[in-house]
Amino acid sequence: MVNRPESDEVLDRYGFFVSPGESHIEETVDAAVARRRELKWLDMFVQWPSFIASRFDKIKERCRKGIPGSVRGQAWYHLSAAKYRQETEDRNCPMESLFYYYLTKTPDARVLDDIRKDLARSFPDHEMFRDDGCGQNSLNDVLRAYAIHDPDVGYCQAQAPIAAILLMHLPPEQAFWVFVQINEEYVKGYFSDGLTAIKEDALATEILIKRVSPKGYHLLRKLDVDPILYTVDWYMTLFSRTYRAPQLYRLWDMFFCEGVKVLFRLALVIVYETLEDGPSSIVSRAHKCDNAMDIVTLIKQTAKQLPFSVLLSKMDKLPLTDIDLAQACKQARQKLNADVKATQNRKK
Amino acid sequence: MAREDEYDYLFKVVLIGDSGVGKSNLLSRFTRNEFNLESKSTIGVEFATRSIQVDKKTIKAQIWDTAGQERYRAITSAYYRGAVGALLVYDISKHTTYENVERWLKELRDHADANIVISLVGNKSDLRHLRSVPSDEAKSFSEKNGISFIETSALDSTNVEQAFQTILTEIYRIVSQRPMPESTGTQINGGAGSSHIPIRLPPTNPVSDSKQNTSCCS
Repeated sequence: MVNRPESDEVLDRYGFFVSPGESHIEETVDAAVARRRELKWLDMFVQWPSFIASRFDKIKERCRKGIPGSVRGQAWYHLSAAKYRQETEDRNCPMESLFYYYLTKTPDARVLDDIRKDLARSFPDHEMFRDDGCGQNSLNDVLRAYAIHDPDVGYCQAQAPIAAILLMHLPPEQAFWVFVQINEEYVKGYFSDGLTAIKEDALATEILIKRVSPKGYHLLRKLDVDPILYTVDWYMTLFSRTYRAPQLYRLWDMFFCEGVKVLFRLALVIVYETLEDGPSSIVSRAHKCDNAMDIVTLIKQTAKQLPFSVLLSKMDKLPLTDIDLAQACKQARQKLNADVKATQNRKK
Repeated sequence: MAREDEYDYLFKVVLIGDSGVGKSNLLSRFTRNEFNLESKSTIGVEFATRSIQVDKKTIKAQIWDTAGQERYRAITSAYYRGAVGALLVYDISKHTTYENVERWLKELRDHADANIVISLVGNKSDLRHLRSVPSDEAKSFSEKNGISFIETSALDSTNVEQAFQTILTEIYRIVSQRPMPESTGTQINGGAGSSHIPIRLPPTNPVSDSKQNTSCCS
């Protein structure tokens, strides 16, 4: 049998095709509250530089509450400083738009081929990106432009879902600049050849699991689970292969404000819940697993099953400071560097 | 875990090959008899299992489906660990995916167990009119390299079952002829109710990775 999109699928308010039972997962914010929040954001946009400089905590609080859908794209564009970046770059561009200048260039044939293969494979469950959805051309433009902007990175597969989510919220040119900021300011090095930054963050996550959930750490070590197995798609796609709207957007609201630590905290909470602190039915199953695949599968299932509101509140309570996080990353980097040196010496 | 987890052998098999050759659909066809024209690109790793019978023994296959884009090879050693089989997939309608087979073999030589059983799989055989890799060429290449070869179509199901059956049976023949090593405490610990026999391939490059665990699904 060949599975075509089910005919009984319904389109949810975010443009995703879902089975009828799924469409109830919607944000239930009262209209009056939503309107009030919207006005607050519009007000912030007007006085953005001063707001960001003097009232960052207020912005953070508002991001944690969830940005209203109507202003979310603009909020991400501001929060990531993509607006500032675009204005600065365009000022120095003879064509007045660096994005459109990039589009006059043609990237390497291999890059183009890799991008083309993924245009229909990023969000086949979203109206913009299904079949010949209008979003596929814009996705092609954003990814091509980026490959010209940073030829060393070119195109990496995990980038397509990220760009697609941005295009669900912003016109291509603005989406491009937010995309640039993600690549260069938020998760620098995640998509580069060698995937060194991803390896570092995977290992740092494991170091932090040892601290947050010693029991969980012990189990993962016993089954010889490489942290790469559960962190790669979470981190490289900013969780967009695990969650979708509205949960994913809530997560990104916080990510754009607070940065990569949001990804770490969520990853740690999911692992902690699965292996130690969650519902006993899950934890006891975890401790019966006898191989890496089963435990990783369970961790990934748990990520989707636990109520997102529970995960968010546990992220907040996680006993982990920014300093802990920085130290773990440093430790991971040192260990990986030492491993590389050891391998080189062995080869000599 | 569940009763379906009773098995005699547990084999880990990896699906590798260039991006877009149909690895994920081979996996879903074999494990769930599904094919999806609109599947998402694989980022990281995805898994599925299926049990088959050989010689009245239950063999549970753990199949690891990996990302095909070249730069993901930087992290593939995490996937190869403990694998006893590899299906190396190319697309019969895209010659470049066949040209890269050589590099994937090197990848396996560098990172996987030296005794890993490899099978070359030419997928998308339904695209007859677009064929760019002649069967004979791939066949003689695989003979030269001492690996088996089969052409499949995940879309119309042709040979998918056979491709997996063949490699799993071949692995079974190899391991069932070998006496089981004594427990060293690093094998898979028995899950509730499971009656499996941990499978070990003989160690090949003892200095690699500092991993002592070479059981089939570490």
